[in-house]
Amino acid sequence: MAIIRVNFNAFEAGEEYLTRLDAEASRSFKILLSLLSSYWQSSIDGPNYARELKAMALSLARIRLALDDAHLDQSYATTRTEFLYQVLTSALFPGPDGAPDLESTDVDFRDFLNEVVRVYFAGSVPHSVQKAVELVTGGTVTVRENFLEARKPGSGFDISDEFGLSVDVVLPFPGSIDVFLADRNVRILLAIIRPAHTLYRVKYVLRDSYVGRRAPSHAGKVSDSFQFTLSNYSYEDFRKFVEGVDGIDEGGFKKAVAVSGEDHTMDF
Amino acid sequence: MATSPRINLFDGTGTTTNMVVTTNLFGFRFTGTVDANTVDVQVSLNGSGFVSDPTLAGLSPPAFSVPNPASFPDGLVLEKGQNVIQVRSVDLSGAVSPPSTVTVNVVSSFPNGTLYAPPTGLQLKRRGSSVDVTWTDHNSGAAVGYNVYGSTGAGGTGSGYLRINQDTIPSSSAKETVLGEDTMLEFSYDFVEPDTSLEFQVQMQMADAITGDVSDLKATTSWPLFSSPNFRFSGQIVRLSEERQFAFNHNRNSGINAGILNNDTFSSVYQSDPLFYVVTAVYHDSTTGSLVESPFSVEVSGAPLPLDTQVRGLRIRDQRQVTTDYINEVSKAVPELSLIPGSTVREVHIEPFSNEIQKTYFILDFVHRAKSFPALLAIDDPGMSGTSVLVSNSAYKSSLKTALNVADDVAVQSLIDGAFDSLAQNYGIVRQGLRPATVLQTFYTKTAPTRNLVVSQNAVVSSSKNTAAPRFRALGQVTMIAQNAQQYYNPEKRRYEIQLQLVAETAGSLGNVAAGDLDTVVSGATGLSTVNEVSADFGRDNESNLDLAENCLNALSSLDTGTAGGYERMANSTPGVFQALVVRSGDEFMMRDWDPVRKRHTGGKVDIWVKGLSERTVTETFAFQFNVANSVRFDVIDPANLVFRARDSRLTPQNPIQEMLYNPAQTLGLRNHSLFPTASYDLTGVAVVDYRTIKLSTAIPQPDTNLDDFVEGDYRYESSNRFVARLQPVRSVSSVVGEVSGALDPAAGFSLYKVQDPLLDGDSTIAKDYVAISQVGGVPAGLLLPVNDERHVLIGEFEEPLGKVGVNIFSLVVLSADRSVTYNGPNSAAPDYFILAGTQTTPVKILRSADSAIPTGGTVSIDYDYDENFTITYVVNDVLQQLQNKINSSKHATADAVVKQAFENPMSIEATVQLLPNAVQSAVDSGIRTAITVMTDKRGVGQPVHQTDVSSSMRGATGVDYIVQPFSKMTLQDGAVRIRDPLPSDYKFVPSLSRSVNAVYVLDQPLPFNTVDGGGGPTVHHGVYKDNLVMGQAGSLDQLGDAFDQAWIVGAQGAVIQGYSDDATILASGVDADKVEAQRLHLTANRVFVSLDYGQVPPDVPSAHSFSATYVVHGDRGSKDISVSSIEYVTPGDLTVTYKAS
Repeated sequence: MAIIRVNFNAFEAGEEYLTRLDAEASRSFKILLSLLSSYWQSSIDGPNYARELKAMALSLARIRLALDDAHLDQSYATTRTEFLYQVLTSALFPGPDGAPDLESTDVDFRDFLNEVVRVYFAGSVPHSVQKAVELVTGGTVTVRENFLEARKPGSGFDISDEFGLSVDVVLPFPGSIDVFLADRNVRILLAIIRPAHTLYRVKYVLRDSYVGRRAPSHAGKVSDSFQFTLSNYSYEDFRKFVEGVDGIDEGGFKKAVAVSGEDHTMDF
Repeated sequence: MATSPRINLFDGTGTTTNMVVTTNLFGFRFTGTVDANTVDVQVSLNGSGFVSDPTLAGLSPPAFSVPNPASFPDGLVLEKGQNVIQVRSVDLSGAVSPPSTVTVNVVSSFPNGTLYAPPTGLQLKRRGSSVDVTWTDHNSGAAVGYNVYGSTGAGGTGSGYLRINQDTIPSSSAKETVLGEDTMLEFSYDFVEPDTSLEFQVQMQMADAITGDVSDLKATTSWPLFSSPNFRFSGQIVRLSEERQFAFNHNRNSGINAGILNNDTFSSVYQSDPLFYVVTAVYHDSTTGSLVESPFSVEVSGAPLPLDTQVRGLRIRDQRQVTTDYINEVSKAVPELSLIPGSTVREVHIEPFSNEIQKTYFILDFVHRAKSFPALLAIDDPGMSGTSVLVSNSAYKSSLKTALNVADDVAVQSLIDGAFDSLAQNYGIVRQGLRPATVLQTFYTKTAPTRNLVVSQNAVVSSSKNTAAPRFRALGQVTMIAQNAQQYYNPEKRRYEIQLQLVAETAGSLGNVAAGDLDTVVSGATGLSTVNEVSADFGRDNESNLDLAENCLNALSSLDTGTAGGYERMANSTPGVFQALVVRSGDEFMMRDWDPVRKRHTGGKVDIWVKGLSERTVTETFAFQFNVANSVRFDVIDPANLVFRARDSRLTPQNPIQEMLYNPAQTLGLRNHSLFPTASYDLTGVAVVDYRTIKLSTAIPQPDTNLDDFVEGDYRYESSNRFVARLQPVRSVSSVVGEVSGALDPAAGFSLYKVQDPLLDGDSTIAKDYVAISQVGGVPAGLLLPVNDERHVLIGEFEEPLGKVGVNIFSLVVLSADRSVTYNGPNSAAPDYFILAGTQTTPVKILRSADSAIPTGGTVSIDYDYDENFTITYVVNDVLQQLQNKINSSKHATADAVVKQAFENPMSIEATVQLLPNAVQSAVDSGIRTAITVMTDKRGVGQPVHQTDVSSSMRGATGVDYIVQPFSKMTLQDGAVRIRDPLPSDYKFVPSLSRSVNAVYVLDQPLPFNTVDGGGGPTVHHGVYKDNLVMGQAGSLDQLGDAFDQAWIVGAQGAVIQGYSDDATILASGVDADKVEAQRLHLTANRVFVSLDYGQVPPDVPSAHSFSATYVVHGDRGSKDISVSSIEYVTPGDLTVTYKAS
């Protein structure tokens, strides 16, 4: 019966590995026994010489399995994740910024790297830029080339924008990804794949829904006393972390506004 | 009264107070809810009476759990057979509820066990500090939940499989649902000659496999048949199944608070050692009350895996491990067999075999490493030094040598190099070969030169000390001008010196000659001695494994030549380029795409800054450029003596009238419109008195002239005294030689101007570096030179260039070969030829007209006048030209990519070194200079040099005991250029320099290096930038307030400014009289002054802007770390070392 492999790592341990080792060692053991002359009659591994052959078979089987596993690393799609950096990551992200940190599992990261290979081979075309950003952010990504937008009436673009492109990342659930980490990762990728003479702007379109004021979970027991209710509006203005909200600084605080000559004569 | 506890049903459909369960779970747990005011849940096991035991019942109102998972992580261990568990609640008032009952029948197995399949599709995904165990419900769709178990040993050995999840993972918690496809049937039917009048009908029926009875008609579809014959209809039936995927994250350090059980066992396992996981499915039948846990799934194993940059090898089983395994295996059956060291079996059978197995593992590991550059580098050059470690110094290489059974270290290294080569070819890259060393060689004379001393192109020097050193050859040319000898004097060395880059004649690392070794002039530098103050460097036998690996690792990310990586890779593959820095549109140091109006980057540009030099001498011939001015008003200065002055602002002493044009037939000359009819002057013998004034001959009849007459004239004037070199940027000018003037004085006769901002076009291949010619002692005279009887053959309508540049086309006459016929020029009614204008460096061309009297193929004789032709010899960096050509042919369309010379800033170091006993000073000096050269050469563009870098390099030289710290001096050499040193916007108002609304401010922070007034001379670029845009440069500090948006840099000498740094003001501030000068320097030296518009609303002040300055370093002192901008790099420069013998 064929052994279904579920463990693709460098650990030479586990039930499945031992089963494979046993099968491979048995095969080698039979071959070694068959090499003996007819004087050696044993078909079991009881006698000393048979035990020694079995020990040899086990050692040879371990090497054979190691060879089989090393074979996995030849393909980027099956590279064991222990060796991802040296086989693939180092070649895809050789710069000082290193690879994006996706906070994902090893297998997901390997899939990501394979997608990056495809993006690289596709060249610095708009689709590559879109694909690269999607790899990091998921969601819906739209790449707009400014020179095309400039053809639309009222776009606000002019000839000075011709080398720009705009990457719009639509995030339906703002809390689902770390926007700041994603932004760093996006910029690592774009630094590599965008044509060097172009400019880009990444916009995160954060969609969240306002569900209205929720009813308090318990009605007040004393109607004629002061009471207050804390209710969850399910709304967080994520825009405050992103460039563009007038009057709010990077920390989400309102900027101070200088006022001079304010007339307070009417206060007295 | 208290309410009975409500027990959760296992399928999650509700609660009950009386539950009967039949299960194969020996570790049993159930949960439920109680009223919010419950303070205790009491438990009775098999009628033993109710007890309040927090280990038996965990209460967190309104939820409770029996048993408490914190105490019984694996649940209650029940007896086989019937178990009765009762629970009741106690509320705040002490009231006790009626009991709720759970009756558990524990059985060892269930009939039809195959119905309760374990989960399949297991996978283990690894995170940095945890693992995800994932599975699908492909075979366990009916399960209500899942449990995950772990073990420290394979197959449940070690700890045994211990449950990890506190609560059963409900089947409703799938992470993802995917659609699985199973192809059930495929079929096809061929139509050879279809009847197109019919329709093709397909019916899908469900029929009994044995009787053939049709039980159901699934679909009937029909299509009109295709008109052409020979087609095939194919179909397939696919079963679609919805598969739910589950994931469980296990952090072995998490505990009960995170819903993780048995962390006391698992957290003690080393983080990189695997755990072994299985999953079970839990089935529940509410009709029978059965609660069944499936057998274990297949086992997956794994440990957390940080996705870091660690290079990993295969697990190599060494001889000892293999021997142990061997012995264990034999001992299983024959424990009495002697296998101690020295025994026959051990020595004859086991050890030799184990040794061979170990060798095989090494070879296997090497083969595996040979698929990855980082893995190969980890064994070949772990220090990333660019040099492979010796086989004898590497345990891995030595083991590999043994494993391969090769005789010498060379073969092992060759095998490793071959692995690099082989892998590189997968990227389409081959190892680069020999590269010659280069050196900045000093040529000097100890006596003042009495004649110009030339180091000619192809001059050769050699070493008298190092017989293995190759000869070095000059690619450029440089001249030490005797007239200007002081310019070359080096007071430290007490000699007159010039420097030139030389290249080794023989490529390879042999050319990396130590400082001081190249000491003999072989040829091409007569009258000069020579020495290399710095070591030769960059010579290479073969590209190192490190360089080859880095080149290949960049290959994938630079597949597109229009990306930053693409440009960088192209640059690095260009001979002579040691390092390249790509500045993209929008980057900090990209200013070519900066729109001053919109105040933002607009894109389209790429700058490639290059470190690398290959000097090339270029010779061009040029003439001054002239323009023709027609009908320009002349003022009558002296009517009696016929002196006139042109009203033309284009005329300057540098751009004078060259010649009055006089040809009445072409209506050229000087005309007096005040007379009627208009009268023309006879310009025979006209003299140019100064650049705009002429004097006519009064010896010949001339029209009557009055002081207020309206006079107009035509003339040629010199439009420029500049020559813009064809190849840019220009590094230096060797000579300018006129046909008549001879060699111009390099000190006063001409100057090289490099005044463009490097962040714009300056120092790039599109720069406009120019040479300006000055007249010194009437030379050059600017006279027209005649050419008579220059022979040319005119063929068809081919353009025929004349022999000289700078031709005065008004003087051009074309005659027949025997000079008997004068052909009609372009202005005649039937021209025989046309004239095509030339440029400063290209001659005028003659073109036969279609109806020309000049026979095609005929020879003509041409007379003309031309301006003196000059031959200029200048030096460029050929590396830039070559790279620009490559980039032009491979860049993206519309990308404006320009190659630039990275700024080379030499240091100036003065240090004292204590020598070790018996150290030879000359050898130590050479070693120190070599070490510093190697250190700075390894620094890339934009990398600083710290004092510790220099001192550690010096300490590395043989014979050095210690370096006296701090250095007497470590700074930049005079002439170094600082590019856009940022300046804080803190400021002080300077009223005495302000005028009207032009407020003058001084920026508080001084420039980090000393400079001169203005920031530099007129021939080099310097300036102050406000918000990235260059400010106007005032003529002086006093003129700064004449306009706003101007700047002025006060040099290291400081400035006296009334009300700010004059004596009276400083004394009034309480400074002692003897410290006034120091205070003045403190206030003004190396400061930037700017004038801003105070009249605007709100008034403009420095704090509203960012400032930076580009300036030339001059006279800087002290010892400091040298930071550089992203486009500069540091070279050794002047190094003066004082040695103290021990």
